[in-house]
Amino acid sequence: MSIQQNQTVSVLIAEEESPGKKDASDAAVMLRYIGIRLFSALLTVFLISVLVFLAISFLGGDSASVLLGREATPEVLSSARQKLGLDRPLYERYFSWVIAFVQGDFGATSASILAGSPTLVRELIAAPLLNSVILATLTFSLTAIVAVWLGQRAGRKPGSRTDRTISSITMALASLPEFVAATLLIFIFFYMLRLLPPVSLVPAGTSPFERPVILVLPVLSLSLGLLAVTARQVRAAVIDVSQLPYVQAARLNGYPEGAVTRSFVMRNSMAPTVQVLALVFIYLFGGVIVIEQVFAYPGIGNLLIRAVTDREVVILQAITMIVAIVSVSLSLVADILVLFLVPKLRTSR
Amino acid sequence: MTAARTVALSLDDITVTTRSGDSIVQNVSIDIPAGSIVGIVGESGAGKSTVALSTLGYEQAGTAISSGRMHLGDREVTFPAKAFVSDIRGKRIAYVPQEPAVSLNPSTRVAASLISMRRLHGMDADISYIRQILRSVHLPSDPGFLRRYPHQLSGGQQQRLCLALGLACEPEVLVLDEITTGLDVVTQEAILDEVRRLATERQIGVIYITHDLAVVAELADRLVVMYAGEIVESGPTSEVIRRPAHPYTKALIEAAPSHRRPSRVRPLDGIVPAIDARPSGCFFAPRCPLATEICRTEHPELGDLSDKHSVRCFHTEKVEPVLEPQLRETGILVEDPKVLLAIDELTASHKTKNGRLTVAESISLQITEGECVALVGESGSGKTTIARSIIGLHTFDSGTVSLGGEPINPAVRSRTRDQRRRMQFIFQNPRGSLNPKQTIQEIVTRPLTQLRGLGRVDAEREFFSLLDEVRLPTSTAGKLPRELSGGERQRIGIARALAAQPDLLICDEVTSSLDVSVQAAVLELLRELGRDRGLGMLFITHDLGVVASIAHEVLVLLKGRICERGSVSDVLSKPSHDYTKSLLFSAPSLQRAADRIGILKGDEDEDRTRTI
Amino acid sequence: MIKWIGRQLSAGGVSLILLLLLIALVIFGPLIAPYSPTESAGVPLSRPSGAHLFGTDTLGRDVLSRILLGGQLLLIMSLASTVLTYLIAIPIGMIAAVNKGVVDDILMRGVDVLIALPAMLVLLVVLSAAGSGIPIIIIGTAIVRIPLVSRVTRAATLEVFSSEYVESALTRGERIWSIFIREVMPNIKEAVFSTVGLSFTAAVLIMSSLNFLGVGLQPPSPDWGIMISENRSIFEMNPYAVLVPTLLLAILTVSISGTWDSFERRSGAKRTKTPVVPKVRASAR
Repeated sequence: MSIQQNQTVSVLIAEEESPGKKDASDAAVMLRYIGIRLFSALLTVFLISVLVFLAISFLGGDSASVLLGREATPEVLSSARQKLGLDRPLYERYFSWVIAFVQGDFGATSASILAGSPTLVRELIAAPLLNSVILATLTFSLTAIVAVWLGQRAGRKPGSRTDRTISSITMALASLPEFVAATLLIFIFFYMLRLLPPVSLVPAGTSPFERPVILVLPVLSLSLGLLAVTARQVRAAVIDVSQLPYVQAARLNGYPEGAVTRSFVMRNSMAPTVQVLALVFIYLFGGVIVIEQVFAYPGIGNLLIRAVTDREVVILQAITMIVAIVSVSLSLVADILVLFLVPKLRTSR
Repeated sequence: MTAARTVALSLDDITVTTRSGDSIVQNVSIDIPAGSIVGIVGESGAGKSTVALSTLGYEQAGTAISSGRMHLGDREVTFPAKAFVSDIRGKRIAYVPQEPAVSLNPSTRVAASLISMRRLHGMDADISYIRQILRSVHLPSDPGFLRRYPHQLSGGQQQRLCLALGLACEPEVLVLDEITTGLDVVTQEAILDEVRRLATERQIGVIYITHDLAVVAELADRLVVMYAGEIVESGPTSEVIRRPAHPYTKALIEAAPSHRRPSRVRPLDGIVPAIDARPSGCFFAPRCPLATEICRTEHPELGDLSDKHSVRCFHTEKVEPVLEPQLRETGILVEDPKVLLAIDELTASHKTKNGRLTVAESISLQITEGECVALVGESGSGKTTIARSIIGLHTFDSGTVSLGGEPINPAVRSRTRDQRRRMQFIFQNPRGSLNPKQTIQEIVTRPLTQLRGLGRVDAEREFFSLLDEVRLPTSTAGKLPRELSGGERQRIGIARALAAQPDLLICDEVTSSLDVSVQAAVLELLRELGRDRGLGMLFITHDLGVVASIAHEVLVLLKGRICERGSVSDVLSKPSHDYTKSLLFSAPSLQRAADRIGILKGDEDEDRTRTI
Repeated sequence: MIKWIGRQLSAGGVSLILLLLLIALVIFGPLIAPYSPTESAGVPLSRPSGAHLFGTDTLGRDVLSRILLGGQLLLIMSLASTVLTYLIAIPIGMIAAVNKGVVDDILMRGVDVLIALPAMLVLLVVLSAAGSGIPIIIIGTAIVRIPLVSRVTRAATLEVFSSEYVESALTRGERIWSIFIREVMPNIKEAVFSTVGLSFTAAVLIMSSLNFLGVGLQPPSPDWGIMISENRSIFEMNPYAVLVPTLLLAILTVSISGTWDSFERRSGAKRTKTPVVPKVRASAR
């Protein structure tokens, strides 16, 4: 604390400032902020790519021997390795993988290469990716709206009956594993009420929107837990802001409760809320993997589990990188949004 | 703004209680005449902010304004008020909060906040009005300024903006809650001038709440002294300051250090009773030198001395006039003192976003045995960094620090155990400087074993003698820091430093978080310890009054450089540097207030001003 | 109905009772299990009867016996992974707070990386790379929790380290480990332990999800997650084989976080009994 005190050298009469170059330096402050965030995002993506590549290359052993089984002769194995490019040095493989990835070439599955008719991962991923994006976006929109509303309600009067009710329910929901929530929902809406289908198959070449009813249960089961987590975070942000002196000052200045909530509490809790929502979107992907499995929904989660069981390293790499890039970009967008919401970050002193 | 209005606001018999039924504030009645300033003074726990908030019908969590009435012009509000009329808050009574930096909406620009305030109360929000309001509190009104956010303003500007928000709707009453706490004295003086001018020009009734008697003594027309939730004395400022009728008021005046000449402060023993532990008789009785049987059994009522002056005391006629500050010895009492600490050309800096920022430059000073050197400066003057550099918590850039003639390593880690023992640091914040999970005995014993290598038995014996030395009961030993009051904690900080048997104490703003009466006791304790043990002391402070009551030598810091140095009497009476002069001029002073009143009112009771 | 009882007792009390019951079930369940959990014990797909309280599954295994054993490994592994998380995360967090150089940079980067990826995805990569043995699952689950816990530890340590009582210890020349033990640890305890409930719930949640997905424990292990997954197709024939493990998992996770939450709130209330700043709220307007 005492260090901070000394960091600003107070001027005897510190009332004047040079207003001339203010705008220019504001822009500099903003650019600097965005620059740092952008750099850090790129670094993160790079690190993830290295880690994913290393993890799979080192720990995963030899996908050729895995695919061909134990009985394969050394000759067959080495020719398989050659076909898969596993005989080249590690860094070379990494760079060719990255360069190809950047160009949109995610490679072909190992099994298909060995079989002689390469199936491109890109083609394999395209449809499931779209399906997952549909599922995730629907869930996210529903969650964001309801959770922000609930969190605001609960945070406005901490300790009140409304708050306690919302908090207990969200706490229970937040700790339920997605597949447990989904199983319970299937039990209620299919076995008991016969209202909604228990599986969400999407025939190849069609869109889930052709039978929107199949999306209801997956979205619902994903939303429950996510909603709870988000609402609790929003509530915490609202409580943090409500306890600040300027909120009290607003009440003392005669602002009615509605205006205090709108212009003081909500306005200033928007930044933390945006950051929470970005994190939630990332977290959402984890749930998507599980939920797609529950409902046999053909998305990347489903594909991912198959890739893991089949040891299809290339698919795993591609999906991990896509998810990483999407989530890092989302946090970047959230950070830039925050920049516009918090004047202190984008203006010079 | 009609001249016919005499009383702007009157509070009648206000009582605020907690949910458990204890009263925080009881039976408070105050009249605030239009165009005049009423000061409410009291130490922490007096209930002064609660009173201020009740004028706005505002109840803090867990409390309720349970009874009383309020008259605002022709309007009457009876408490408990089911719905406090919102056109009063901000429009007719405006509140200016304590900490401007956190009291302004961080995402609203200067103009927008004022416009929103005026619109809220249905007033014309034309930009020309906004400019006018800003100009009235001496803030710039150019477009660039209007577009600024609160964090782009200086502390003084932020407080002026708060004041402008308060004035935005032309209220009849302004409630100012410790608005200058945390500002440096020069800015404080400017803000106080503003308040004075606004009250007269606009005929606003002002309630000024503060713990600092000196501030209101120069500002207010009437003083209301509060103690443990009730008014103990109220009257015209001149009368209350010159001839206090309540022993507490008198003690408060005597405990306040004066920066005009080196003098001792007179401490007041004991602490303000907690809300649920107030005695059945007079609340002040346990600390009162005049208390008799009746004071302990019966609760005194507020009685009138004259039509303007009232007091809550059974023995008001026995209250003696205020003693003049007792002059103190300003020479060093040790014969042929050796130099303990010598600092030569010390320069220190901090790392910031834009490179290193030098906060202290070419600082040289010497401290001998038994000598107290005060380092005075505003926040940001670099004084704390200098102290931390000496003790070894901050690595300085250049210069030397010598202890007993030997240069010592800048980093505390690289100093010898004996060097660390000989120099001890007392921290600003007694709450933060004691580990909340350790008992007092653990805290104070640690240096005994660590720095002096005492065994358990010796350490324990020494611990109890230290407790005695800082005047704390032995029952303190097993307590945790949070069970002690601020003053007691600071005594523990002193005991911990003494445990090392140091030659030199470095005291960093050690009294700035304490109440006046407690501050006086801590200052006296330190002064006596310095004298009895022949300790050298480096006393870091922003308060010239504190300097006057303890220092021998004074160094004044301005932006990291020493701008003036000299003996305490010289610096206080014949300052040479303009900065020192402005500090001395701006610092509020009870004596100056009393003198000013004395000049105005003539010499009614001459005997009072005679030095004792 | 649970809500009604909840109002009569308290959410925390009910959670605690449920949790204790479940722990008892997990401990004593194996002792009272009537059949082997992995061997066929009767006619496949039989409905509940006296011989098989919850019926049998497709392989004729007794569902009750599988349920009684199905929580054991999950709880032990979750516990082990939570302990591992804290054993690794606390030192990392404390060191990063004090050594603001390389260690801190690496830690913060690690946090960035792990935050950018959903825990489930990280675990899938780890498991497919290293195989799905029990130690790998435990370590993997610990890894995804480490960033959060070490960040909380780091923040708490930083706060304590900037305090004046630590500075006071520094001026005495105390050794760094002595400062950690005497000054830092007692004061970050609450902040760090406040995450334990969440970490444990998260471990249970992640592990049961892995088991459900078929990438964690492998059949024929009796496990609630595996049971839900393998018996979903026989729901119409024997709903108990799915519903009972589902409910047990639900009660387990909810009761853990419910218990911890109320425990936290109670100790939190104790801590804030002497408030630094009185919190303000709107008046009765």
